[in-house]
Amino acid sequence: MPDPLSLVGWVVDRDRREEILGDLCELRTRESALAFWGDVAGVCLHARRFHRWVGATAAVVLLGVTATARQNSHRMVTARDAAGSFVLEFDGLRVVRATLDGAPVAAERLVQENGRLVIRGGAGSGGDLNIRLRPDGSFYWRGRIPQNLPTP
Amino acid sequence: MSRIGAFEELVLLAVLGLDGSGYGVSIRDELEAETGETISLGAVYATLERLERKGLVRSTVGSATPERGGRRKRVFRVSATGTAALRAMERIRSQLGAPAPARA
Repeated sequence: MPDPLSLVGWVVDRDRREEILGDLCELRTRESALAFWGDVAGVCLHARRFHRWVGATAAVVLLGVTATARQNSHRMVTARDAAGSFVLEFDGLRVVRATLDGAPVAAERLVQENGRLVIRGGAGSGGDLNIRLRPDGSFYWRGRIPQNLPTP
Repeated sequence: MSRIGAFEELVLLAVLGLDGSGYGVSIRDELEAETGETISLGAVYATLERLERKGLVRSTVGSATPERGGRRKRVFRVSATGTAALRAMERIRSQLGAPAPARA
């Protein structure tokens, strides 16, 4: 079991260490072990340095969780409209790559702003594919016009 | 003037009652004796530190004693600002408790 005074000496601020350790030394001779450990815990929990450590640890954990969540938000979705199939590759809420009918779409043909994505259609592609991206990660699209409409 | 909370006021009163001889353990003992409750030593230190930052108490380092493992005490005394804060709290409390003046 660690020495309680060493533990407290490690946690409390240097400028208050001497008097706090002295107080605890005095209490150790007159209190039960349980009450003494209660005092040790109380002193540690109220120490400013302990609060700073907790804050710093929480910040590091939060950064880690955020980074992991960002990594996990990478996904690919395949969908279809009247003109064929398309694939959207998301990084978070942003589409970073797209494929139309199996052919990769050049980056300059991906126009994305304010929750809207337009995939500019090339010649003979059936026009632009308009997609609305929602903050919850869902998306809706207006289908392209099929190129080879059946003749009546 | 700095506002003081209920526990800060109790600690200030305990420091005042100990008349310049109050340090962590004796202040906690005084509070436990008067309130009849268990008081965390850590809470007493944190409050004393806050009161000192607000200028309501002043502290000096005393001499080392053998029962403290050769470590010195930090002894607290209520400052003039602290006494004024206690008086202000007393005045507010008596005004709040006084019957409302009769209206014409």
